[in-house]
Amino acid sequence: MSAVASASILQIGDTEQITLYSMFDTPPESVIVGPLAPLEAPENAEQAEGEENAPQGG
Amino acid sequence: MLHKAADYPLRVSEVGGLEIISLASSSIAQLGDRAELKASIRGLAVQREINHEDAGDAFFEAYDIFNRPLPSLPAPSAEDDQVVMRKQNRNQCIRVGCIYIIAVSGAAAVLIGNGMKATAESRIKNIRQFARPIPPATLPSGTGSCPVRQMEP
Repeated sequence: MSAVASASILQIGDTEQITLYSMFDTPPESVIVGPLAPLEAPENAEQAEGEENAPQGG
Repeated sequence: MLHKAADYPLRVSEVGGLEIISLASSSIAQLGDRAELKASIRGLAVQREINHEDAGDAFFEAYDIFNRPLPSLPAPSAEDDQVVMRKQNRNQCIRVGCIYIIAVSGAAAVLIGNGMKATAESRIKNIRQFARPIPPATLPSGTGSCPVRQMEP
């Protein structure tokens, strides 16, 4: 057997009740690390309303 | 109708050999009977662009996954509660050969013997943090976000 992992049970014997929970959260694999060409600011960006609250980068 | 045969309500587990190379992170290996098992683990794996000393701590409280309530099984109604389990063990022994396990990890358990109730819970979050050119004042507190990296001129 290679592995018993993350809220798992291997049992040789009798049991009454088993409850197993596992939550796993991982980032999407679409994250690309590499050279990116930054886009210039949109036309009339200074006049746009509410843009200063927008998240920067990411 | 069950035959009137030998019945062993309590069975004995017999294992020829047990070899475990690694047992980690809230895991249990038990040889013998037990009534109740409760194992839980929280994990936050942070992969960062800058080193951890400069980036500071990350906190479990900042991520929903660690506070999310556990899903509950809907309780059967009184009419549906018709399931009756009856068991008859013809042999008093559960006999297996050798067990080889490379790794046991993350609130897992290996039990040779009888158990009554087992509950295990694992919550793992993987995050990647990139250094971002944002003033520190705008960073949400407690998220462990990377502070500003001084850009080379």
